[in-house]
Amino acid sequence: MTLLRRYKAFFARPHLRLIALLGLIVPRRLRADWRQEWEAELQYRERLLADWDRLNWRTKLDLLRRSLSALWDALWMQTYRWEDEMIQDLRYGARMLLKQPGFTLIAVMTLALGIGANTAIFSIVNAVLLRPFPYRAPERLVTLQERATAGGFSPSYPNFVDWRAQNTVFDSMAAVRTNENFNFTGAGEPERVPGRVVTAEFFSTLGIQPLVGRDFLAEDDRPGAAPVVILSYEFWQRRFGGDPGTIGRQLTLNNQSFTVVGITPANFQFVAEADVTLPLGLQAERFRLRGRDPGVNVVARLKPEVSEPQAEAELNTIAARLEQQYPESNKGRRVVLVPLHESVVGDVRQPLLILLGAVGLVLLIACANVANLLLVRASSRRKEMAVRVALGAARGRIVRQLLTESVLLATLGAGLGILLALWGTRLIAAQLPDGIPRLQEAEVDLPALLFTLAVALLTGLLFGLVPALQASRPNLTEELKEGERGSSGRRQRLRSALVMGEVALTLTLLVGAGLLVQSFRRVLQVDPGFKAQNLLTMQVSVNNPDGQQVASFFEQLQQNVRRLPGVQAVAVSNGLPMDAANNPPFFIEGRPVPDQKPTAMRYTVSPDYFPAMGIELIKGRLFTTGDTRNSPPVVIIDEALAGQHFQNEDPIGKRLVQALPNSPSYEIVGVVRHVEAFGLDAQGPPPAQFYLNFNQTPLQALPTSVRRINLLARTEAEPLSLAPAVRGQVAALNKDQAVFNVRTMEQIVGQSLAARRFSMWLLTAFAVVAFGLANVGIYGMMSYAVAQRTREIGVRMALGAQVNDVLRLVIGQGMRLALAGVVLGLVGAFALTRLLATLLFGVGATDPLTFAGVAAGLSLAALVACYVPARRAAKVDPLAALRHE
Amino acid sequence: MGKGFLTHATAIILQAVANGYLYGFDIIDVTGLPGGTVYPALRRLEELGYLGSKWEKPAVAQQQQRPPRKYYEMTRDGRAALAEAVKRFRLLEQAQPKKVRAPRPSRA
Repeated sequence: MTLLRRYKAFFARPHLRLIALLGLIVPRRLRADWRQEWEAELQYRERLLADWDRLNWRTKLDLLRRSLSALWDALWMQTYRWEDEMIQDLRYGARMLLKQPGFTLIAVMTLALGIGANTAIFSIVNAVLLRPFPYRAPERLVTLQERATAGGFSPSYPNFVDWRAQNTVFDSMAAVRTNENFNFTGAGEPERVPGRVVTAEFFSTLGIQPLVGRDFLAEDDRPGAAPVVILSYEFWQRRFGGDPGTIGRQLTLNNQSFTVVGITPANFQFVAEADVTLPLGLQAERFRLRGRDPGVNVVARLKPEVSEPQAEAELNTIAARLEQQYPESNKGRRVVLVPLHESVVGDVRQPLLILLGAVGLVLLIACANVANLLLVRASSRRKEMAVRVALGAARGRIVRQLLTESVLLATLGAGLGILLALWGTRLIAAQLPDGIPRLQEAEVDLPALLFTLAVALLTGLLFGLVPALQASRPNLTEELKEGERGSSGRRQRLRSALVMGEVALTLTLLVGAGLLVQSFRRVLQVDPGFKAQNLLTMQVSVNNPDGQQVASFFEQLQQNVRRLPGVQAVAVSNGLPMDAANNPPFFIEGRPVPDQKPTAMRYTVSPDYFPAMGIELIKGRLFTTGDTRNSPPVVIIDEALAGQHFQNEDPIGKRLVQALPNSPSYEIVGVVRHVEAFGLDAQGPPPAQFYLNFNQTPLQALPTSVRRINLLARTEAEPLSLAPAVRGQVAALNKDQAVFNVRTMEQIVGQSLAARRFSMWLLTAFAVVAFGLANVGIYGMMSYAVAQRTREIGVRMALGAQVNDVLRLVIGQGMRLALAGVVLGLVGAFALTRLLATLLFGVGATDPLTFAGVAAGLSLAALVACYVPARRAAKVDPLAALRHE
Repeated sequence: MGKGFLTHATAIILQAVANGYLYGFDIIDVTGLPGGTVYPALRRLEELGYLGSKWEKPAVAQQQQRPPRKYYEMTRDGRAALAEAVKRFRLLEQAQPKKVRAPRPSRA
């Protein structure tokens, strides 16, 4: 039949198609009759209508309407399913589970824990790693980084402009700088709003259309253009109530007036939060230098026929040309192309996958436990199985019925597990460090539920199959005889193997968690070089082009805050350790200047910064009130810079110059203790740092340097309790002054540890669950073994065995297993912990102390788990045990 | 539902079969009840043993090039249950057959 005819046939008699379709849900054994009844009625009616010449579209529609009521009929037929085999099995299974509520409860809880934890972690992995970005064809979006001899960094804007002009491999290309902040004033309460500056092609490169209004045009993206802004949907709703008349309105950002031209779609995100998007070209002046900060992030869309290596090769050809053209700034610069997805989630991929793996192990352990329970139960049902086989039940039928029971268990576990996951996902997401992208999207959604379903079915089969296969092959002559004979060797061996496996997996998890805990302890022992306790910080952003006014504002502000009761010291600083600081190139005066100039973290601080932060002076002097704009400029360096550049000489009196236009030469007057700039767990050589005196910042440079500046106060009591008073002082001087990011220094340090703390806690939690499950497993197996051997033990005691002999017998049996598991686990841990290497700090992946400690701890716990059943065995009354025969 | 107790709608359907409307569609037409009510009721009546069902002779269907239709007929139990129901639902008495008409399609 040709396609067209089929097509016609379908539409000529849609009612018959509908019946065929609905028939699919009718129980199979009734389906043929059911279909025939409906089809016959409809065809009869059709024929009657045709005979009476009334078969038109209206009567056909009526037939279709009638065939719809077959749905109700088909639904009603579902009740006949109760007689199907599957339902029989289910009903029987449910009855068996209800008959042993204790067993069912333990098994379901165990599975719920395993499945729930897996669903929660999967939801997070799905949101962060798997779900594609909501941009058009996101797989063709890439970011470009520059790379010199060491490390990657964001390219400069002039380089971006050249790449954009010269490349032939991208459909479009945009530069964006995220994490820009603006003071929003002139419409109600002043607010510090997060924003980004972008080139005109930004939204079109991502394939995003403004929801309302227009996108940026090339002429908006130029110095001196009329200032325009695109608002985020959320900001538009919050501040303007979603008023469409917002387009065309003026709003004030950093004292400059902008016209609103567009609104982004709801939930649009790019890397960092942003309520306002501004054209980068307006600030091109700020980005004009090729060789230094601020850089831009570059996002580009590959042409469909171009591969990533091709694009990278072409960009490097361009980079080589630029290197010849601008040897000063572009020496050794290469371009690296990274897929956008990779660049956003690359850092969190490994920790998340490790957690997913760990939680998978927990599920395996849970499965082993339930399989063990099922094996024990199967041996108490051996007689039942034997009777059924003797009466002619096929083996497949028995396996099927037992599997139905275990899948039923797994489904119950999954149901409870989903509840657990709903709660757990929210809990884990709330604990996750801020830096993890796309986390707010994490939820138990359809993919996660499908995952749970798959996991439940799989676990049901996994822990059910072996017990079912075993139980379905009873030895009839043995089983049907009266009396118990103890379990057969095979079953005993299987249970032992399961317990051994559980112990091994648990040990692996415990070692992993132990290594992370050790690392965390080591990190906490690192001396940051300053005293983080009792230190209040907040950010102030001043928009005032008059340097003199800015200088006196900060002078006055520091004085006023210092007078507050409970404040010991006050300072301002541009840049804070573990938060942000500039990293300019510099050289030492009087020495040959290398091509690749070294860089150092630069903090511009007021004289009281060092006492306020608790940074120790090693040599020379700190800034004093004698250092003013009229006195020679001075600099204080840290011991890292001193160590790297003045190994054998005294730095005091030497001169340092920043490799920037118009940089004066600074006399080095002091050396201070190194502070950890990138967090306590920073690895690699310590970054060099130097400090300039805020009070020596030239007046004309002051307005730009205070766009974002920190105010610090060392307090006597809990720092945050003083925050309102300090804010009050700022407001008293200037009521339009935005204050934001009020944090204690301890919070800043804590934030730098958040990712580490998170993976440590989660892995530890999983390990503890595994530990509990494994012990329950050992205990359960030993209790059962003891119960099975009651008579044997009675005989032994009757023949003169002492309590200690019995204890040794039982504990020996259990510990042999546990120790074998420990040895296996040590091997597994040895192989697996190297995956953790990047998360470790100060301990090796095979740290012998951790390995030994965990092995000893787990063995001890196993001993306890064996001891309790062994005690029970030793209390066996030989007479009672023998009489039982 | 216990034996012997019929809802009003079910009783009407049973009455329709007693009146000689033997096919599902005809019962829908004559009672004016929706198909979503009639079919499940027929299934239940069949399960209760008040109705039996048979397939039409294939020869008749073959001639018209359609599958054989399934028709329902009263059983002894069904007649008893109907008599019982008529006592409770007095209006049903008026639906007692006067003469059997040939089924006719309608757009109900």
